[in-house]
Amino acid sequence: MAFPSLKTEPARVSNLRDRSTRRHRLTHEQRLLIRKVLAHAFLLSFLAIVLVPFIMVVSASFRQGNFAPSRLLPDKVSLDHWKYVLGIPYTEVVNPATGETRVVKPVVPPLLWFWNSIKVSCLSSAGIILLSGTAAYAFSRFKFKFRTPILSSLLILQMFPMVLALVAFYVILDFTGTYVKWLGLNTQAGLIMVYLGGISSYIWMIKGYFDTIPASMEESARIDGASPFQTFVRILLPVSIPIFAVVFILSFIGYMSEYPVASVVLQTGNNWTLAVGANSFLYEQEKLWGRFAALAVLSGVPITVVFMLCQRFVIGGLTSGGIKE
Amino acid sequence: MSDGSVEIKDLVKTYVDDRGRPTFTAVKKINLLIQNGEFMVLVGPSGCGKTTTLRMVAGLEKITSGTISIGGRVVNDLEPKDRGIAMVFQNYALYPHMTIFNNMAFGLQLAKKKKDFITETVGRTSKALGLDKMLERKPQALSGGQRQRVALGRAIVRNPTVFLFDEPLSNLDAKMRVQMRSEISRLHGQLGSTMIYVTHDQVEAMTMGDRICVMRDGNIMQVADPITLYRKPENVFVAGFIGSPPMNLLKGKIEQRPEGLVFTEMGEKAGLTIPLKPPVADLASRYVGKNIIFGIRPEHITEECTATCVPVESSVDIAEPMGSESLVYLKAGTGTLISRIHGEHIYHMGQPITANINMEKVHLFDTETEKVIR
Amino acid sequence: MSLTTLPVRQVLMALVLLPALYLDFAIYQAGNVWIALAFLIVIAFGAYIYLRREAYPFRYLFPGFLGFGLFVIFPLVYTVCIGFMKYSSQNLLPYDRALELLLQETYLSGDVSYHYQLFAQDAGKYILVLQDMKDPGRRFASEPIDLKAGQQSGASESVTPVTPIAPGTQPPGKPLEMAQVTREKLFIPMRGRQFSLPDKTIVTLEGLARFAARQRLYTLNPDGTLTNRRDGSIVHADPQQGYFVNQKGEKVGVGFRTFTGFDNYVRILSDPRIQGPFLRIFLWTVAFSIFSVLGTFATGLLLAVVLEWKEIQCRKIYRTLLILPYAVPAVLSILIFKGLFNQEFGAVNAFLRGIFHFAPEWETNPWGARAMILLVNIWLGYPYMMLICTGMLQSIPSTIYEASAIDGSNALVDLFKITLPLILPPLFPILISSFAFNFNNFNLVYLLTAGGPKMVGGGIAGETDLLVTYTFNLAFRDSGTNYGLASAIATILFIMVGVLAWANLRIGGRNVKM
Repeated sequence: MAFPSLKTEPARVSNLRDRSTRRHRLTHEQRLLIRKVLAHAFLLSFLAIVLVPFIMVVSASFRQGNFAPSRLLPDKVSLDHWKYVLGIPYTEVVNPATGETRVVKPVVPPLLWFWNSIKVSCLSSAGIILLSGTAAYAFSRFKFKFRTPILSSLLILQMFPMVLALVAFYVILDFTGTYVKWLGLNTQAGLIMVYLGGISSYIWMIKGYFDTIPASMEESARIDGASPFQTFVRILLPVSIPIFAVVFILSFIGYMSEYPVASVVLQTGNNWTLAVGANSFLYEQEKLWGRFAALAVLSGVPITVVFMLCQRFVIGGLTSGGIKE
Repeated sequence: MSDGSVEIKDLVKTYVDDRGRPTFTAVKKINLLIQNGEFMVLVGPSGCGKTTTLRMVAGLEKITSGTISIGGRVVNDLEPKDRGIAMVFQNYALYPHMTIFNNMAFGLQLAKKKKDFITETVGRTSKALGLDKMLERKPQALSGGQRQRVALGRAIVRNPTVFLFDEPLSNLDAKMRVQMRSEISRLHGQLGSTMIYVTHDQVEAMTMGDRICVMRDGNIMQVADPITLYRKPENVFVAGFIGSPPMNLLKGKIEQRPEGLVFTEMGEKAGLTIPLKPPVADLASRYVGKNIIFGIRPEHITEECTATCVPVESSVDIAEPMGSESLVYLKAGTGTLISRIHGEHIYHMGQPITANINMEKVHLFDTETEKVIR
Repeated sequence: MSLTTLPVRQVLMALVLLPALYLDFAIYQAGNVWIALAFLIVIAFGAYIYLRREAYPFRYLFPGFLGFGLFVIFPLVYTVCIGFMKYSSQNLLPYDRALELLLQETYLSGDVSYHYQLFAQDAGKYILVLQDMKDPGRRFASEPIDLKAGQQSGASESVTPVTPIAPGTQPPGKPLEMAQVTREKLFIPMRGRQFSLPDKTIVTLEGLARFAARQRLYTLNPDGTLTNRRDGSIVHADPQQGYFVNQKGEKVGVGFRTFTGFDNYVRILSDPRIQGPFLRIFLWTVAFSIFSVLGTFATGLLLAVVLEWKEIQCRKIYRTLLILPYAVPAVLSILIFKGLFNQEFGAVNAFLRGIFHFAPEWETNPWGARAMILLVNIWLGYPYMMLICTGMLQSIPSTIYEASAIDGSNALVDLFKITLPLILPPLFPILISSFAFNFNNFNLVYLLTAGGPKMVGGGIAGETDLLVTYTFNLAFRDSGTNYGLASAIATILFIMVGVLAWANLRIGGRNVKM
């Protein structure tokens, strides 16, 4: 479609007629072939740029020692990094000269960070759906004063970067923590609570979807005797499952990758999320690339697979607006 | 069966924006009485307020002022479910995530009816509509006509005193539409409930309604049975809206000539001049020298002349033979006249023809008030 | 229906309301009157919304608004307010706390010293007995007090009174030897405590073996100034500096935070140590955002166009694999690239060295670091643009291209004369949002270069810092913690991006129905 000229008949006809240049020109089929080869070469080299980093990370996770990812295949295969990440103790040679060894076992198994991230992201996303879904319903189906200005200001106010509001988050959580222990600093519930503020782009997304659903369905339910809440729960929600799936996946991935807020709110290793934990392997002084690589593969693969499986959903949601953060 | 009469009194609907400022008035103080068991059709071009009126009867739209009573009870402040109504929507409004059975049973379930009762009612209704084989399917698996039947069934199951239809057939293809039309008419005969039916299609209105209410710009133009509406339109709008092809409407003047009263068409070129005979001449005598609209239906322009006919010289512009009859567009005066002529001949472009206007069937309208002159 | 739902709603309301009111009461009792009041207003609003019919739409909005208000609007307002304050690691405490600390300062007064003895009671409690060194008849005993071995008592520990006891009497319990006190480190918790004699003299532990009288150093005068009792100097609070100063202008005690109006903004604009880096970082932020948007869009569009060509086999596989950078959590990808671009050992330089005998300095050269950041960001961002462009391309009817082919067009003409003009207007809002997103792309820069390499003479500013990361470092990195200045920059940043979002809404508003 984007290369329709390849199929143009007039050009070909003129080629055949023009005898003097015919010998120097390629036939239509040959030109097509060359273009196809070029296109494939381009796509394949691009694919290499995309895939090689991932392959190198897998290789680094199996490579003995902590080297930055730099090889397609590990020279010395070792499962130590994987054992470390999974929390399985393994023995390490401390002094090659004397053959002295020691048993290495992480204080906090890095796998826990992955689990923490899943927990935080799932609960936050569920909360996001609950809050933005109900709000979107009100914006889409009710008329009230200042509806449009509120809707616009939601979007503008959300532009304030979360990172820079950290002082305020700290103050809020410090405060709540003094009254409700499990909602304070260094708690995952506190982090989830902070994450629940980021609803406005999702309100817009869900509202956009609700707007495409004909109101007559809900009116029909109303005649059937359903209250607005029953209509919302029994008619609109089941019909809108696709957009909720999109919002869930997008916000899930967003929170999986969220670093700054989590790094300030969560202070002890057993509470860390994946992003904080993964970065903790890479101190300025000592970069534990092997361990990082193992953790990255272990946690990145399931998320990627889930995303790829839900791809069709997500693409549909993306084209209807909104941007990954 | 309870009383299903619907009375609309001084009904006004003004839409407001988010801040409560009025934007436009869709229904302008209309009055309408619909008898118990009557099939009333609301018809008019889009934006005439017919759907808004229906939605106010249903309770889906807030009433700005005036009252609506169903069975003698004012329902202004009643929820839709408490008004004893059921509604069929243009796009069927079926719940896509529920089976056909659940679609039909939804209202009964919400009303906390007994399970046996629901199964029995839905079963009986679906059987009557020929849907009993597909109760476990979802709406996507059904054809347009079947979906419309489910929507009908969902309304019937509620056992309402008043059925409301909002352009229910406009999403169907032509053949299906004709079939569903007769099915709804039959349903009306069987149930005997009051039905209010909104459509923009005047053919549907004529074929289905006991009475028809023609609306324009939020006003009622005429309420009458189909034949009266066709024969005796109250105003230019109804005359032009009802009937296909529409009535020929010529703008002109009544003049007193030596040979008697004549109608002269206005226009840059020489317009038609039609001598007037009784009974039209008597009506026209009050309008000498005044502007007037002259209306004649296509079937009353014929080749044969009757006793009260007036011949007009013209030539054929286009002819559309339809078999039993032909629609012939005649060049006469400044414009064209459409005539419906029994189709024994083939007509050629430019062929001269003498068209005879049946003076008994002529309608005259006041240009200013657009009302018929009687 | 309404008969059954009404009580349910009221019961639910009660279940939520009662704990909320209890919590509010607890906050009030703890002395946070204003917060308690604000919370009470929120509770009242909630109750009104859920119990009254006329506020029906807000039942659906209330929970979302609560979260949004608490975690978007409040932080915003809070940050804007801090932007008008002198608030940093030197000026950290509120005025009241700073004053309190100053008033708690004491000095050795008089020359009376006391022997002391501890009498062990049950459950780690001890009674302290003091005896005047010169006048052994003056003896005092305290109530049983908690002393946890080795643990410092908090400064907020209240003053413990001691009462006179008759000569010759002994309090209950076993007296501890001096050696025992040292061995069990009981002197540590005692050191923080203050004991007051009946004549209000404060005595504290001096050294290991004796107690001595201490007095508050400052007295608060009615006009708010403080008098130093030892040298009689007058100390007053200087709100401009956020410090207490004496007559000589010397700072005394700890600083406090204070409102200084537009000082921070003036500093951003005029102080060369801040203005210089700020301007450079601002320019780089804008350049980074523009090049990121253009780069991701061009790459995404090119791939989308190639993949729309029906003659290519395996389009589906290509498309699926090319989305991968979008599917992998960005944090992981960024950190992976941090490794790949490692100057000495990374794969990128190994590859370039092997083929071109050329190894760019991705970490130490500012331009190398900037190039790396852009490359990585394009790698991360092109799939999103590819997805969007694919969607747009597929919505263009193919007959348009057939018509142009008959008119004698070719691929390039098609792209620039048909495809781009058709997809750019609907894409414009997306490009703007992408610009705004990259403007604040914290994760990428913070995790990839942390702003490095350092800007020469720029303090904590780095050559690749974006405004967000710079502000973050200013506020939270150990070397900075200048909350006031960081908040002022954050406010400027928000205004810039907010205006952009507003404009975007205006432009997009024609397409988006609200």
